[in-house]
Amino acid sequence: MYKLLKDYLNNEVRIVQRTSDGANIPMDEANTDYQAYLKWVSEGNTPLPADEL
Amino acid sequence: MAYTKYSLTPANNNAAPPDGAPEGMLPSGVNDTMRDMMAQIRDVGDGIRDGTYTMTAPKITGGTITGVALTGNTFTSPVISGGSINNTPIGATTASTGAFSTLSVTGATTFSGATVANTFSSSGATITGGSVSGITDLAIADGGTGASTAANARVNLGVDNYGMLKNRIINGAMVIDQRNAGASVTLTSGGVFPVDRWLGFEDTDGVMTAQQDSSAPAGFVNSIKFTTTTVDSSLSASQFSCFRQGIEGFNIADLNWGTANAKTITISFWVRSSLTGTFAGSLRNDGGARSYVFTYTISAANTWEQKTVTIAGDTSGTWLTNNGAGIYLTFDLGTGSSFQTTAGSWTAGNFWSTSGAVPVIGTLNATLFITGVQLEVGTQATSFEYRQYQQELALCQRYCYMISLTASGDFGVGACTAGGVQAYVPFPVTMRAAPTVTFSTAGNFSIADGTAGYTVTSTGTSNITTNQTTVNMGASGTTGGRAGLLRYLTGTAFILSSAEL
Repeated sequence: MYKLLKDYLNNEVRIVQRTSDGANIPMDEANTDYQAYLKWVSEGNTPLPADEL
Repeated sequence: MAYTKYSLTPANNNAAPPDGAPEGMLPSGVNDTMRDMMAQIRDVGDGIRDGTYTMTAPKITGGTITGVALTGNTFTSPVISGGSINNTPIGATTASTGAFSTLSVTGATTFSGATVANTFSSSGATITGGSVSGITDLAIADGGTGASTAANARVNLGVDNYGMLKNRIINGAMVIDQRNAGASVTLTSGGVFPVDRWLGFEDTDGVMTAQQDSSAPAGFVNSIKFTTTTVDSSLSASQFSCFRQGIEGFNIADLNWGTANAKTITISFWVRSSLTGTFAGSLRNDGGARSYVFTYTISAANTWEQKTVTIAGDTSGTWLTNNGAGIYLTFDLGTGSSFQTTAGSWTAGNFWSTSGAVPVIGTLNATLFITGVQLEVGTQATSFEYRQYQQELALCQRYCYMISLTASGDFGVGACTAGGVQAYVPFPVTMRAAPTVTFSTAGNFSIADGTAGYTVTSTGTSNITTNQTTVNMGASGTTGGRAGLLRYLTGTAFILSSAEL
């Protein structure tokens, strides 16, 4: 499971949190954790929405 | 008659004239005998001059023989001791047809301008001056380069990339372990790093642990040790256990893989196992569309052995040359048939084992140690490339940067808000990609603003790049507008930034 996180400064979603270990995953397509997240989404899954700051 | 009718004993030359001079011979016979002696002297002289006489045991001691041609003769057991043979074909009238099948000499002997064909066997031979040409490429094992050109010689000797890092493997000596500091980890299906850059997987019904170990062959101080703590002796087709290193595409771009100019590489490593037999590993591309499974044999249990594998580069497939995974080097620890293929050739698909490979996961308490892993261009395994510790650490930090404190210290500095601190944490080297950032328990950290300390209650990040991350630490009681240090409070506090492959 994943949860979207908003940037503290610009209020934009730029981090995906892996809820199993709290890992903060940047939206960089070269990041293998982000690649795994995109694959998870492509399989029909939806992340938890970001909290409002 | 020939001169041999005369006796070497003067008194015996008493035959009747003209063959002899008997006692009391008539005066009329004296001239006959003298005339016959003159004829014999002429005959002997002509025989020496014209070669009509055979010398059965000639002996020449000292002096010099010049301008002599030996034609059609065979010396079955000649003894040539000292002296010189100068510009004289030996064994035939011309050098092109004459040959020694075996020429053995000892001591100081000089050959100048002579031709020696087939085998030349000598101890203490000296070749001074002149030139040697037309020699078949001398193998490295015989002291040569195995090549006929300088370029190929450099490749064969592993020095064609001299001046850059020849070993494309990082942390091949297993000395860097930022995450665990030598502690044991249990492998998982998603992968765990027992040491930096080496990712271990276990997706079977068994259990396997791994850790940095001090057992190592001479010249090394560390290895990775894999231990089977729960056995799976009947792997299903899709089950697997293995470990691998992903080599960044930038670092293998010169191999030209996927083209007709693909370069040959050689893998070398030291391995030790409680098991013996045939083990497997592979090279794969990103996505696992191309694989080359190789095997190696461990001959003796619990004994360090060095293995080398030379593989011609793949002329097909897509091999990344950017910051993605260029090559995955994988070692099998026990894998089902879905990931097995015939060893020894490039094939389409994702494989790292072969039928019959020894499964370490299949034997309780079985161990496998490995270190000194090197992947280099060329057909020869050259000596392991030792790097200074800081160099190796910096190479690892492109993929993993871990700040870990078990005592007082600071992680970064930032600005406080009413709810905590936003701190800047730079990376020591530019990372391969913007990394995934993980924290230890929030309570391991505190915030100091110069007036008081505040226990962190939540962790988070924003603005992660390849050069830094900004961490957001929540705490009660902080005052906005003040500077704040993010520092160690208790336990083992860490910030792990990972951009691994």
